[in-house]
Amino acid sequence: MTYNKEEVRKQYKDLFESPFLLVYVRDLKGNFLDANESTLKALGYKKEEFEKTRFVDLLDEDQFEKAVDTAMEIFQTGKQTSRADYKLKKKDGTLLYVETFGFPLRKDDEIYGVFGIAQDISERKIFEEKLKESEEKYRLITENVSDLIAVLNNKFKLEYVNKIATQKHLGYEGHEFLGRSLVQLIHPDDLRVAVDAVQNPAISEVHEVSIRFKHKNGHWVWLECMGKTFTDWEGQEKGLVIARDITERKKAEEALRESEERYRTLFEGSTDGIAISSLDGKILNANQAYQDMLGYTLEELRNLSIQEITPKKWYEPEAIAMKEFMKVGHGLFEKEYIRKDGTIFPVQLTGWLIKDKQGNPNKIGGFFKDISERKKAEEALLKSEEKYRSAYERENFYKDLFSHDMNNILQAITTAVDICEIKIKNGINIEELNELKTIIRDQVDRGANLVQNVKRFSELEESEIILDKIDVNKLVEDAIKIISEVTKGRKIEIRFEPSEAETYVQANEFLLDVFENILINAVRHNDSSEVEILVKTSKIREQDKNFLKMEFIDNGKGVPDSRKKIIFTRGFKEEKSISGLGLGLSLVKKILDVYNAKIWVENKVPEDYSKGSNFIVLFPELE
Amino acid sequence: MAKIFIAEDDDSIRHLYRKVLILKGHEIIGVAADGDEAISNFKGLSERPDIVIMDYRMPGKNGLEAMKEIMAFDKTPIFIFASADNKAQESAIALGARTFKAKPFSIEKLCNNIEKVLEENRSIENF
Repeated sequence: MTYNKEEVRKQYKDLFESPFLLVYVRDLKGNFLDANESTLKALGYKKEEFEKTRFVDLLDEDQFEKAVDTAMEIFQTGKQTSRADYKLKKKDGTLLYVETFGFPLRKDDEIYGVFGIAQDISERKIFEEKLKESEEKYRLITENVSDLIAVLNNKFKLEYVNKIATQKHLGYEGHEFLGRSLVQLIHPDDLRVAVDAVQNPAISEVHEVSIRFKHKNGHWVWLECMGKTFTDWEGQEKGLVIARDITERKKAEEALRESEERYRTLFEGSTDGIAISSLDGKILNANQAYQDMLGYTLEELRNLSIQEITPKKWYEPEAIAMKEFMKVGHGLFEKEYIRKDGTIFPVQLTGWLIKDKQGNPNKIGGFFKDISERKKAEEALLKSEEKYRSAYERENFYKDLFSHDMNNILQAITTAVDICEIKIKNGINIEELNELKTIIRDQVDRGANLVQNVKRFSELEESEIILDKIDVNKLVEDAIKIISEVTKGRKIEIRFEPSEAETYVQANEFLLDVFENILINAVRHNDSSEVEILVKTSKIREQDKNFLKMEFIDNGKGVPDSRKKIIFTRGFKEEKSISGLGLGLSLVKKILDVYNAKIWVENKVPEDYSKGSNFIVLFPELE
Repeated sequence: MAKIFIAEDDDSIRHLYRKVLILKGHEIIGVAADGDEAISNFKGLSERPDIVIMDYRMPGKNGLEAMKEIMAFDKTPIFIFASADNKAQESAIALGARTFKAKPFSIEKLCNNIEKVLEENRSIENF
């Protein structure tokens, strides 16, 4: 069948002359028979070249099947039911996207060709390709991000969710999720927040809102959501939600909150003081108990250092303790604090080193317990223990006294009696008898003195001492009378030279025992045939204080330098061997301590102790 | 008869010991009133005593300390401890005292002790 070009062109003149439509005619084998200028121009062919070209020459192999199917439809049915898109190769190799529609050309009811009309859709196709590519890119992103991305319609129903994230965070397969109302998945307590965010997208666009969603397994998952509304291509208002699973963060936040709550409760509720300081001792924070303990407000404490509220005597021990503390990171220490009102009280502190995130120590925390009551109890206990120990020692002392001193007295008497017996057998003379009699009487007096001194010692230990204004002169004279009485048989001269007619000191009745013992001691330790004792008083001034000085100067055996101090120290706790002088001088010292008076012994003649002693007593002047 | 050295801080007792022991025929070759004096006086003796009568509780060095130092200087004398402190007995014997007399004791007993220890010494020397 011959194609009648003129006839067909005449018949479809308007189409052939269209500047927009590509019009062509091809035979049943696909050879182009004719084409308008628009077609030639679009494909870059000259007319002669084009008429030697077949339709399939312009197609890629993958389009052959579609081209054959379309042609078959036209030949068999006489019409093309739908448009067909093709990607045609232009002469220069570039592509031309077209949308084609064809119908059969007949002559004598016989189809001899196809009249084709094509529209250049390259721009649209390129756009579609790019869109597809873009969509693919976004699909890949949305499907693979760990954040959950969802699109909601205006009824809160889910229209899109990224599957992997949905499955991962909420346990649902994508299809299980689609079509469900978001309201069903939100925790009731968070519904208000979610609705507000959706109804007022300005909120969720700016702020992230944290909402709990129900996992498929039933537990709640915290999602931090950001929302945005948009209008889709159909003009429907939609909501885009991007959500991040923050359950772990929330758990951590909750744990931190609980920890902080616990810490705050402990910090504020503790009855012990708690304070945080810098390493150089600046107080940074302190609880109420700490503030109450010291009487300062927190603001005042923040302007103080630990050192400023610590008595100076604790600086050095605390510095030593701090060295150890910095090594081990914690420590227990007892010290004292100064309150705002200046009073000092003891505290027990349990400290620990606080480190920064890098592990470097930067603060010190401490629990502080006011241990005033405990210290008082300890002191009371110590006093009680001391009292019982003292009683025990006193008992031992008395036992020792009787087992030693009294046995010595008895030994002297026994030996004297033994000598008497020997002498009686051998013939005794009166002189020897007198000597032995004196020795025995001496020992009896010594025993009596010992008993009296023990009694005095005991009274001094156990009774409450009340001091009064006592005339020293009178007591010295009384003591001299007593000594003269008990030392009958020995030649004794005791002279008293007071500086004033009356001399008063703060003392009590035990002062007589002091003078008696000093005088007895002077007589007993004196081998001279005539005992000479001078007692004199004088007023002296030492270190801006006035004193009454009493001197008991004798001509006895004297006291060697090595014994000058220990002769006053025989007492309950005495371990060292102190003997020979009985209890007298120790009692004297003990009584004078009560009067705040001092006693010591010097040589009567300097550099020669054997010429006699001078027992000196210094009383504070009575005001 | 023995040569005796007396260390006793109680003046009366020391005086009476001397007196009675002389009456009993012994010779007192030295005395001391405290532990330190006992050591120095002993070392200064021109002849050695047979017996040392040693008190326990004395000023300065006590009888035990004095005995140890004297024995380190001369082991020959026999020590008779005479003390009012029974608690010193065990230590005194352990350190070398031959006998311990607890005060108060009779001079008869002390003299018997002196005779006895001298006899023992003679027996040891003869053996």
